[in-house]
Amino acid sequence: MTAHARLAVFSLVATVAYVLAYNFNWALFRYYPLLNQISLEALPAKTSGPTMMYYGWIATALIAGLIAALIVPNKIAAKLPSSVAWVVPLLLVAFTLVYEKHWFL
Amino acid sequence: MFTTLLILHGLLAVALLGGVTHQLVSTWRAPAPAKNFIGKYAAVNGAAYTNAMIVLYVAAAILGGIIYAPYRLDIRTTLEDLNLPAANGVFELKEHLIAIGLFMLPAYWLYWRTPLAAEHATARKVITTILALFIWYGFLVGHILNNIKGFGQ
Repeated sequence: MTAHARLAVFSLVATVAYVLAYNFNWALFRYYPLLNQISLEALPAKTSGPTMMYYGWIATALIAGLIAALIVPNKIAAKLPSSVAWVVPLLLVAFTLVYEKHWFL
Repeated sequence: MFTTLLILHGLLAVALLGGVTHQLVSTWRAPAPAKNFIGKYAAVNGAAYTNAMIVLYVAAAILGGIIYAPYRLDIRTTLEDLNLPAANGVFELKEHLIAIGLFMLPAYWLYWRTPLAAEHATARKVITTILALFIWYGFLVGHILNNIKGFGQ
């Protein structure tokens, strides 16, 4: 358990980072499907078509999770209660439901 | 090509939700001799499913990610033209839930490692339940949206 405890840290940080990323638009990059082009900056909407941030949010969360898993010492990671691994995702789901409610009102 | 990928994505999702439901029922089952169909359905070794579920989840998510771009161009714009914000909303929820589930997989693997630690039984139950709900939700939403408008229609 101790040797792999950092996996729990990765999950914790990456899930939180993903929700922060879509909430604050912290996308590592943007993808323009009409142009089939990845860009670090926003391109003019008139010529570039719709923007997809999803892949960029995933990349942001992945990197945040990996960094946290590398930084946090195993001893500290092993002390993380296992309840954190499900309480935090439940809170994030609740936040997501509230965040996306505008589609249904 | 995208229709083929969508069908493959759907088939992976079917395998995934079948497996994760089996594992889910096994975690909530009270230990007792399996007598009837439901008891025998639940009397599986849940830990044996873990790696397969992770592989299927990641593969289905990657395929979903590939077909997301043509979805964004073709189907989402049609849903907007048809003034169906709820249809777009359920998909937005799907993308977030699947991403959260994707990042939960390392913890899921950790708490399902054998020998199973008794102190992590609740974590196993709840994490598996959350993932199963995400998978079922993703499957049903994908199916409904494909009924509204599929690729190439």
